[in-house]
Parts: sequence; structure tokens; C-alpha cells
Amino acid sequence: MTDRLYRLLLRTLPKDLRRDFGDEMVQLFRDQRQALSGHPVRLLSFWASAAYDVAIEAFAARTLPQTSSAGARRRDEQPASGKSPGGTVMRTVFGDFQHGLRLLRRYPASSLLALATLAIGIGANTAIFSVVDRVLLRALPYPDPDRIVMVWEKRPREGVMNNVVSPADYLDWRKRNTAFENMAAYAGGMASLTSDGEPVVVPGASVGWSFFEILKVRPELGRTFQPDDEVLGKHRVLVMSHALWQSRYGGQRDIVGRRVWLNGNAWEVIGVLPSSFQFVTDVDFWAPLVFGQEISRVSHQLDVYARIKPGVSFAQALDAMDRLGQELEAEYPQENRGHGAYVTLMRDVYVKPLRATLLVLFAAVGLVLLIACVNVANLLLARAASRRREMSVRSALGASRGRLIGQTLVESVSLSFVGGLAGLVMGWVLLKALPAVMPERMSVVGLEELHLDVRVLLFSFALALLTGVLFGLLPALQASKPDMTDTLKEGGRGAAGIRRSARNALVVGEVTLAALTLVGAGLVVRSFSQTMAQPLGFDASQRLTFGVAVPSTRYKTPEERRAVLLDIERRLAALPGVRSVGAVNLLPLAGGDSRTGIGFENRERKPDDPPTRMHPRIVTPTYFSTVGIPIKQGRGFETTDDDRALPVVIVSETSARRFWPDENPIGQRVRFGGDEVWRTVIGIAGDVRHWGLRRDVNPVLYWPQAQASIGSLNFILRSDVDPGTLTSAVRATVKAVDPNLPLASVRTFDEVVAESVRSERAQTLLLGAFGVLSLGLAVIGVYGVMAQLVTTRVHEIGVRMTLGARPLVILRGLMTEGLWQALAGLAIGLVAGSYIMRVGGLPEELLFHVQPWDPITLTAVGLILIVATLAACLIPARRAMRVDPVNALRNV
Amino acid sequence: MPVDPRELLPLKPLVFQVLLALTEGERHGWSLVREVQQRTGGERVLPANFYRTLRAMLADELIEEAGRSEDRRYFRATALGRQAARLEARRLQELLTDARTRRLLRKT
Repeated sequence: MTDRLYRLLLRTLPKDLRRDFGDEMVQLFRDQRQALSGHPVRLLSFWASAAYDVAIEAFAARTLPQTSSAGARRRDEQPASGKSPGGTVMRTVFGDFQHGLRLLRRYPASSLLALATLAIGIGANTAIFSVVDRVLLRALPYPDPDRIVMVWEKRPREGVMNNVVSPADYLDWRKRNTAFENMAAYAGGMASLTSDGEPVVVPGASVGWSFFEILKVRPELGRTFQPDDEVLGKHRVLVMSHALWQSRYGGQRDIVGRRVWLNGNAWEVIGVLPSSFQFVTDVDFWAPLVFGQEISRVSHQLDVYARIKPGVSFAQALDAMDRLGQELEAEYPQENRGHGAYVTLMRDVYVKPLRATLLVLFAAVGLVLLIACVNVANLLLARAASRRREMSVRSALGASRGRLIGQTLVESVSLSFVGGLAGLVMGWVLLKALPAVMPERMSVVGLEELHLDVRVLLFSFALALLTGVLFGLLPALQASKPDMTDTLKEGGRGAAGIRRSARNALVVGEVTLAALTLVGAGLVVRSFSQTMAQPLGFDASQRLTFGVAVPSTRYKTPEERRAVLLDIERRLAALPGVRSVGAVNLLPLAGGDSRTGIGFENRERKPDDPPTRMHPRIVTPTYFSTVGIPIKQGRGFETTDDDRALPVVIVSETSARRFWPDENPIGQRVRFGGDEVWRTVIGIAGDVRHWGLRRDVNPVLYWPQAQASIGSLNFILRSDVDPGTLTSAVRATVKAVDPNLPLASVRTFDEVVAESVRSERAQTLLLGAFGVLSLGLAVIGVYGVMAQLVTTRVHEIGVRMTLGARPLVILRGLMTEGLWQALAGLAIGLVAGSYIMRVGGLPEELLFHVQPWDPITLTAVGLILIVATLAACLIPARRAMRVDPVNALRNV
Repeated sequence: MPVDPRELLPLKPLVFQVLLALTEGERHGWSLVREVQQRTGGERVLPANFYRTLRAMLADELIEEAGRSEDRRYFRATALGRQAARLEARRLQELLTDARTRRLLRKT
């Protein structure tokens, strides 16, 4: 790992040197590093010296003539051999560069602060730029990615443009479209793999035969699908992921042609995908998508991918699909009323949701970098001030103005150069840490294989150099234009220099920038705490969840499946430490959903009425009490509500409000779309945030498992003990019922909830971290400015104290100055912030139940900044208070 | 063009150390580093600095390649290199003698 980082550093060396000796350098580096392992501090200084070494040599190798092995010549001397006329200039620059590095060591404290500041600024930028670069600037990892699209069902009247597609529509589109080379549907799911080891649940997907043609993926072994594979009866063939092939089958090449048992059926493996293949989600098994005799036009479930024909533009494809959608609406007025077809680029589907967050992060690190630059500018200004005398002397001795500017410039560039190297290391560390907090399932946009590449390297160095030039030039110009006689006359007190307005501007600028970052971070943190304060509608603590799927090949009738699930539930309830057990087909906040049209007894439905849809959930009678969902009215399910009893359902409060606004739903009867059975409403259950803490609550309809036909359930165990400790007992229990039943996603309910806000948490963590960083940097900067101020005013303070000023007055004076600057910065920051909010604003994805001008956030940011600024002023001000007037005056 | 080795004086300490190590025969870069490190009391030799110096010495014809094995390049001192090292040693000796005569160091 660290060797790779060192190799990255070595890239700054010229190519031929790297080619000749690169490997040996790495070897030597590794040897030296290993000798130090276990000494973190020495290791750190070793890294610093290694980076310093590479920086110096990279510079020297590029600028000095190569024949410089001999001679500790003075840099202004003519080279003895006189071979290269350009050598003198470069030697001078190199000398300045070394001089700059020596200066860094001469002022260790301020240099370290500046370097740390730069390292943080550049490091954070490099890391975030790596993400932005990978996600926003690069294409999807497939050939010709801009021709890959997703095709959706659109319902413009409901404001929905990207609904999943019904099988019948998909097949018609595929047959009749003119714009696409290929079109293939995708349906994901889980499958139980029971051969070749412990039974496990693995993610699988059924796809149209041309799916891999669309993505242009060639298999590593065997083949992918052909049109034939979609024929019912010939369809038990599988393409396996590289990861599963390696982990479960040890990469055996005879895997092609083998049979594996999946969901109780034997499937033939026909191919293995290459390790480079990535998709939106991890899928281990790919099977052909086949449909039975009845192909539905009302059940919507498919994602549809397609590749646009060469010579056809995106707009033409969109147009063609729009017409096809209208044709189908005309042909199937019943099912497709108000439905059309819509096309989006695949890239937009997956990248767009990330764009806003990434841009905000990028803006935040940009602000952090700006603060870092201001700090460095401050350091350079202060140093220039204290060296004015040196400059005057040199200029008096005949050094040209260009030479002086050149030297100052090279010095500041060398500072940013070293800062850039340190930032690189910092960025690398951050980048390694980033995926841990970023949302999952983004491999397709490349979040999982982030690395610092050469472009990012260049970006970071360019930033470093720009910082150096920008902020080196100002002090250089100032320093090189000294009023010689004045400065020489000033004697030893050469530091009076920097104009007061420049210093004030620096402090105000720092506070402004910090205020901007902090307001953004504060709003996001507030949003997150608002999110977490949302009532779930159930209790997630002390509960373990896991899924069990019963294959219909071995448990053929609904009764058998029901019985085995019931058996599992009963045995789990008997486990020690378990208070109760319930089960549901779709666990809240776990990402699954289903929706169906509902018919109401004694209600006329006109064709133009808005659709009446509810989200059905199949539950066991103990589900409500186990999860803590209250029954608000009527009764819950009983074990007697089975297939011989009256068909019953329970509706959620939202359902009751929306569909029975003026009457009591209890006793009313409803039926599912396409179902003849009327079911009686017996109770109203509390609302549950099933779809996400920031999402609206939809109408839900519960029906008892004993009256449904279902083969998979998620069990919830409520326990008195830490639910994590129940895992092995649970596994043993399920195994005792049937050793071939694998458990899916065993985790605590709390983990399910935490996972559902993973990306919100990531945003909050990152922006919060950048907010704290910018505050820290600003405090360092303000401290630096004030300390410098006190140093330069020691004389004045001494005079005032001699004339009778009390120390406390001096302290108050300085603190007041700091306070005014903080207030000015804060005012500018808040005004600028609210302007930015009005113009661009934080994207809505980031804000939740918080106004951009949230008074709590703004007040908190204001207070924090004022306190922090005053604290930064306090130490220098106390030093000023203790100035000994006698000493101060004597040192004139 | 024959180079006068005196023009190369004084040698950088690292250059001198490498030439000293090569008086005992051919070596590859890595073993040179070890030798130099040992000679100088274990002071760390920085990789980039060392290899750039090595390349510069090649360009100055103080050393030359003596063949390769297993991807390692072996080096030996050239006549010019040996001469330069000898002159540098003499220069240092004169400095030492001077220091002794001025009683900075005592003869042991």
C-alpha cells in the first residue's frame, strides 16, 4: 500500500530516471521503512524526509544540467565546465528552491502551520476531486456508454416519468421499436444457492437475452445468453459473477457446464463474467428472463435497458419510443390508459442523484482550500514583512528587482510544492477512508475503486502551485519595492511592514469563508437530526431480523409453505431470550415495496378517476405487537384468521384517511386488482415509515399470511438480550426445520434503520467534517494574524504602557479589534450565504425540514465563530498584556 | 574530450563515498546504498537523491555500467572516477594535516 503511494510520488521524477532506477528506489524505500516499523513518530519523519527527498530531486533533475555530480559550487558561480548556458539560471532557481526549503525549517512553527493548512486544503480537494472526477466526469464502464439508455413507462398525468415496465409492454417495445439495436429487461431478486457448500442467499437477476450485448460485455469463460435461452424449458442456464466463481468455486475452469442448485432447481452454468464487469448492484447469478403463458400488462416490475442503433440520435430514439407508447395506448385503452414510453440515458439515472451532493462537497472543500490559501498568504506576508530589511540590504548591494521577486516567488512556490506533496499523502488517506462513509451500490459509477490517478495528481499540484504563485506574488511585489532608505533607517525594527488594511482583510476573509462553510454544514447537520427525529411508527431497538425463502419446488402447495414458515416462527418464539416473533414479507426501510390497485365494494369507478392504489404487506398475527405498530381501531389478526375463515385485511391510518375520508373503514370490503375475493377491513394500524425517513408515508394494506400464498418472509425477533447474540441460535433453529433453507441478511432492526439513512449520514459526516476543518483553519489563521500583529506592535504597546496604559486596557483593545473583524466577517459571510441560498441554494436532497435561513443554525454559527475568533485573539492579546515596557523600548 | 579530474573537486560526500565503495569491485546500486549507509554510521541515504546522483555520475563518466544480472545494473569506477577519488582523498588529507598543524586535532 505505502509502496504504491511512494511510487506515486516518484512519478514526479523524470521518466528515464524512473525507468532506470524506479524499482530500486522503491526497494530501498521499503527496506528503510521496514526497519522503522513500529515507531510511528520516526516513520512519520521518515515519510516527510522521503517526500522532501523526492521533491528536491524532482526539481533538480528537471532544472539542473545532468552533469552535476561533482562540486559543492556556489550557485552564483559559473559552472567550471561551462557546458550549458541555461544551467546558470536553473542553478539559481534551484538554489532559491533549496533556500525556500531551508527557510521553512528556519521558521518551524509557522511553516508547519502553513504546511498543515495546505496539506488539509489540498488533501481534501484531491480526495473529493477524485470522486467528482470518477463519478461526474467519467463515463460508465462500458464501451460506447452514451448509447446505453433505460426505457420507462411514463404517466405524465401522475407526474411520473420513470415507472417500471410491465412484461407485455416490454415485449411489444422490444419487437416493434425501430431505434434500438437491442433491448433487454432486468429483474433483480434473491436466490438460495444450496449446492457446493453451506446454503446461502445470493443476489441474482433475470435479464433479457441481449442484456450483455447492450453493455458489450464479453464473458471470461463460456458464453452469455442467446435468443434460444429465453425459450421456456431451455431457460435453466446461468451466467456467474467473477466474484462468486472465485469465492465459492475457487476459480475452477471446468465450472462451465456444471450444474448448480438454485431455488430448488438445477441450472447449468454457461459462462463466467470478467472481473472488470460492474453493474449497479452486485449480482452473482444472471438467468434469462422468461415469462409464463400469461403475460401481464398491469403488473409493473421491470427495468428496461437498451442500446441505441448507430446513426440514431438520442432525440430520435425518444421520439420513436414516444410514438410507440401512443400506439400501445391506443391498442390497449384499458390497461395503458395515460401510459406512454420515455427514454433516459443510463448514466443520468445513476449519476444525477449524486451530482448535487458531490457539487456541494466540492464547493465545501473549495472553501476549505481558500481558507488554507489565506493562511499561507498571511504567513508569506508576515515573513515578507520581517525580511524587508534583508531585501533592502540586498537591493542596496545591487540585486535587481526581478531577482528579488524571483527569489520570493520561488520560495513561496517551494512552500506550496512541499504542501502539495503532503496534501497528496493526506488525500490518499482520505480517499481510502471515503468509501466507508459513502452510500453503497455505486460500483457502476465507480465509487468503489477510487484511486488517485495522474490527472488528480496534476490537479492537486496545479492547485498547490497556483496558491504559491498567487500569494507569493503579492508579498514579493511588496517586498521588492522597499523604500530603501526608510527601511534601513528603521534599524532593527524591520517588521513594521504590512499595511493594516491587508491584515484586516485577511481576518475578515477567513471568518467569512468559515461562516459560509459552517452555515452549509450546520444546515445539513440540522437536517440529519430532523431526519433521525422522525417517528418511525415502530420500534427498532432490541430486535433481530432475517429473511427465509421457501423454495416452491420442494414445498409445492401454499399449505406446505405456510406450514413450514409457521413451524419456524413457533420454534423461534420458544428460544430463550426471545419475547416474541413476527414476520412480514417486506421489512420497513429495507428497500422493498409492492403496490397494487384496490377495488372498493359499492363504489362506481369512472375511467378518469385517479387510481386507487395501496401497498399490500403480508404479515403473521404477531407482527404488529412484535414490531410495536399500534392497532388504533378494531382488532389485529388472530391465528384463527386462516384460509378457512372470513378473508380479512387491516388498513393503515393513511389508507383510512385517504380512501374513507368520511366514513369508518371497519366493516367495509375491498379487493385486490385482478382478484375476485372481497376482504373485510377489521382494523386500522398506525402508519409506518416504510419508504425512508425522508419519504412520504403511503397507504398500506395488511393481510394475514394464513390467507396468502407466499414463500418468503422476513422474521423479526424481539428479545430481552442483545439481539446480535441470538444469531447462532436462530441459524440452528432454521436448520433444524430444514437444513437446506439459507438465512438472508441477518441483522438487527437498528442496523436496517441505520442503513436506510446511509447516504444522508455520509453527507452529514463529510460536510460536518469540512465545516469543522474550515473553522479550525480559520482559527489558526486568525491566531497567526493576531500574533503577528502583537509582535509588530510591541514597541507601540511598550510606549503606551510607559505612558500609563493599564495591561487590561491593552488586552481589551486587541480583543475589541478581533471582535469587530469577526463581526464584519460574519456579516459578510451570512449575507453572502443567504444570497447563495437564494440564487443556487443547497440542493433539496440535502435539506430536510430545515429552511435555508434556519435561525437556530445561523445563530449557532454566529456564536461559534465569535467565540472561536475571540479565543484565537486571546493568546496573542495576553502576550501583549505582559509586554515589559522597559524591554520593549530598549529594543528599538 | 578528456576531463581534468581536478575540475571536479571538491567531490560531494555522497559521490566520494560511492567511489570509495567501488574501489573494492563492481556493485549494483542497492548494495552500494547499504555500503554507504554502513560507512557513514548508518545515516539514511535518501533514495531519489542517491539514484539521481548515480545517474549524474554516469553522465560525468566517473562510473560506468559493468553489466546486468537479474535486472540489476552493476557499476564500476572509471579511470577518471578513481583518479577523482584519489585527488579528493588527497585534498581531504591536506585539510586534515592543516587542521593538525593548527592543533585543532591531536595526532593519535
